[in-house]
Amino acid sequence: MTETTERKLPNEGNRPKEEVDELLRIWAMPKGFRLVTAVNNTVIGLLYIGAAFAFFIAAGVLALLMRTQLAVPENDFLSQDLYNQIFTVHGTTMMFLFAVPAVEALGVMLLPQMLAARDLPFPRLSAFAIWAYVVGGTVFFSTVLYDQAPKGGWFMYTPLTLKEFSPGDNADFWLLGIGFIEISAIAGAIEIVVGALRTRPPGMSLSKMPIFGWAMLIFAAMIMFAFPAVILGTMLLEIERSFGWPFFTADKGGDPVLWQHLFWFFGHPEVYIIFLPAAGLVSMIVPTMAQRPLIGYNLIVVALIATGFFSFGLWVHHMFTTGIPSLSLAFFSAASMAVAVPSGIQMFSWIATIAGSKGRFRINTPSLFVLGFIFIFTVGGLTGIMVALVPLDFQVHDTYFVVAHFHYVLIGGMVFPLFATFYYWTPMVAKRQLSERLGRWVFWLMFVGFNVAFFPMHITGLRGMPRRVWTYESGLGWDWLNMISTVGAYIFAAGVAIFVIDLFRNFRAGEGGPDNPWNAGTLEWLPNDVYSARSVPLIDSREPLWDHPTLPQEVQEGRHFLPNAPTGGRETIVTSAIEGKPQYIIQMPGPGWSPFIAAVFTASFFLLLTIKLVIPAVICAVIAVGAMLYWTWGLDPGPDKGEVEIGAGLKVPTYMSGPSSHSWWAMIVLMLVASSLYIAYVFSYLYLWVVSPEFWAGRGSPEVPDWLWPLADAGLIVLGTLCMWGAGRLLPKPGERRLLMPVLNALGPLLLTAAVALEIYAHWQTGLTPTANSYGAMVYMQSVVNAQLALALLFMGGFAVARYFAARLDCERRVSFDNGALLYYYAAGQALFGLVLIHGFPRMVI
Amino acid sequence: MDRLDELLTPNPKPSTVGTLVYILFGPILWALQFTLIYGGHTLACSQGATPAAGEWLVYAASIVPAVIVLVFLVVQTPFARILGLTRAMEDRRAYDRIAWAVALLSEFAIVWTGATALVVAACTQGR
Repeated sequence: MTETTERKLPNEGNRPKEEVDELLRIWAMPKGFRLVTAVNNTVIGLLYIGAAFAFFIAAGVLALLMRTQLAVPENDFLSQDLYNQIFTVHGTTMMFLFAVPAVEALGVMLLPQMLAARDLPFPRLSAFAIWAYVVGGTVFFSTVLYDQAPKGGWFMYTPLTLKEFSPGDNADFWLLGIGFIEISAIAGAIEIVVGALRTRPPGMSLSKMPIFGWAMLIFAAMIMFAFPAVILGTMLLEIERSFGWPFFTADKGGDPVLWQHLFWFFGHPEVYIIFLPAAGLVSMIVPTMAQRPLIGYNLIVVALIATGFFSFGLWVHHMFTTGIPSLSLAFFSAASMAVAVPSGIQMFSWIATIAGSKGRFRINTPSLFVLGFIFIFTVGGLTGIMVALVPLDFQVHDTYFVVAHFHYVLIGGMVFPLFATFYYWTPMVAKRQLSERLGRWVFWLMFVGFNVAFFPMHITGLRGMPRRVWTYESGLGWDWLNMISTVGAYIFAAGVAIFVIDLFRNFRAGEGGPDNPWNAGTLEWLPNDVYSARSVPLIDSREPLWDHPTLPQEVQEGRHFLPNAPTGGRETIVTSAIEGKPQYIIQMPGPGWSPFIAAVFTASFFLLLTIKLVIPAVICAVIAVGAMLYWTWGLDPGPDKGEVEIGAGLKVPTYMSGPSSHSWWAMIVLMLVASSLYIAYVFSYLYLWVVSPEFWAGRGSPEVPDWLWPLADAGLIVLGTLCMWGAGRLLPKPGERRLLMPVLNALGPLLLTAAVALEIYAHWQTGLTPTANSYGAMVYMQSVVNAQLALALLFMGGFAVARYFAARLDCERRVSFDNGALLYYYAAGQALFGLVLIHGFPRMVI
Repeated sequence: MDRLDELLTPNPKPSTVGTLVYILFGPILWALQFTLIYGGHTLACSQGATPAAGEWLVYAASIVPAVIVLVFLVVQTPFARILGLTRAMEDRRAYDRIAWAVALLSEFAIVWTGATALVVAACTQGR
């Protein structure tokens, strides 16, 4: 911490009070039932985290039911079938409906405050993601109440989850419900990537970003690359269950282990997707409690990046016993050990910061939870190294040792930091702090309860108790260990119950909480209102509140950037991704019904489809698409408002298109997601070929179509691409008309759709069917993947054409077109590559 | 120069993608190596390659990226220049240090995972 020095500020002198009134009016929160239309990140973030916490409680109750069942041997408190449903819903809820949404919620709530942005760049997208999650998650969870819950475990291994062994709709609820929730997670990830890179305050270069910002950036990037694998997996499994395409059926050339690859390629990074944001939170709390800057900021960034990457090289360590060749096991074993190095760097950095405080480290509820996290996560990390060793994993695989390990990692690595967060950041969003006295009770009960519950499970597992059994015989040496675990689980639950009481007694959302009660150094502790900070501060260090103690007052007086609302609407500053230099102002939409309606009906579409109510599902889809079109129609405001001054005489545009615009960045992120999904498809195709080459074209299946077919296909795709390119060149000047432009814009997606249809026909006329064997299934799946993009492009093309005729699209106001064109070029590339793969590869390997 | 003046002074803009690639240089090569050794070894074995061929594939796919990362560790500046980082860019030293340390960890990971071929036979089932 340094003493403040005189420095130039963007605005000298007093600002008019009317500016604050205008900000309050513009950013006002909807009241009453209209609160569901709110898009402010603080409201949305609170709702998001509240829903995630509710799912945590609900899944926790299921855990208690399981522990009650297992407390004594040969218990019949729960039936076997209900137990299977409960452990599946417990795991699924904790991972998909609690852990990922909770950390994403913290990103939505905290990130804009830490960056002193007025909001995230796509507030309605956040609202959509959250409502979709709330509706979809609630319906999914409720299936356990009426015997419709999935029972294949949170990992839904095939062949157990194929129609033959899991009839009924139970497994479909998992596949469609969770697949849909993953899409909502991706929407949130797009928001976070663009938010962290483009809405930092002026002067906050990438290397001055709070560690939580780095953690969220890497978290979101990991979602982009990990989630598509399981989305593809869920698509394949649902298609096999519904239409009989044999991706996972061994006697038709499929392979159940393919599911495990796709699932764990997501599932292992998922652990770090949960852990890294939690580690980011710890990296924010520790320096505050130690009252000194974090020791090793750069090293923590290094550790976050390395952990994010290495976590993608670990997935096979969940599959050591599936019969994979020894050397492959060794690769993943080595990588599993290597990931401990960056995790260790973070640990040492936190410990060094605490030690470096020279006794000033404050012991209170947040710091107790942090210390609890360090202890528990370290134990979980050590057993992680143990199970990374192939011979030991063979021994403890599918035993309670593994249950103990991952609960130490996940509860230690995520739940404890989350509770630290609750106690630490509550003053930012509430009128008063939570109780310190109750908080200590919460910590100690949770800490003791956790260790009593889960430590004995290491021994239970080493004594051979398998996971996922609903009961066990007496006299195997497991009885007393299970009883202790059950007692511990109830102690842990008592801690959570006291926290809920504390929430009811003390938590009142709203402004007016104590300003910076912990004397933290980062921007979320600036004076805040519904519009976030009054002005967006000029940043020159990592702990600006410590280095400039007068900063809160300066910000409140409007002496920094954007102290007003120059466009008369919601807006925030966009800065350059690396150096944090102001570039332009985003004009952002305010509250509206459309994201809420779109989310509810999208969720309804998926859920109705699950129970095969096709007509109502289609009606819901139409309403959802209508709401989305209405929502997006109001975006892309155009450059009418010209340039505005944001302070220091700096004038910036109020509209941006092209590679500098935030929507361009979002589309690039979406394309990366699409490419990850496609890479997962290519992996699956090659994997099934390795497993069952005897089913490939020319051997167990008809020959691939003649070369003329793919050449004609490629011709259509290239022609479509030229149409899109031409349409872009022909965008008229404002007020002018060029009728060829909408024609080409419409033709492009139609040609791509025709290419997909032609590809399907080309294979169909050879006699190949998707249900015959895995080769046929994979060939047609390629068209399914491309058809998704073609469908999206048809909508986007039609949307752009409609905007052209409404005089809302021209060579300056062109974001709607650019987004479609970008996606088109990607889709064309993917489709062309697909032709080479599907038509070229079988010829190559015959 | 005051911070505000620094912010308002036009400088050559560093490449955004280049800077990100620079920081992620080591892990990108690690990812490439890991994909090659896992995919390549599996593919080679499934096509009837000898264990020795499988092992040499792993060595080759590990040594090449390991050497490239080593060069990066020794002489970073040309890589930074090629990737569009400017000398005048703010906090350049921080990015250099982060990129270097990330590359060092990646070098370790490349060598560590590649070295498994020294002790485990290729193209065999453990059990």
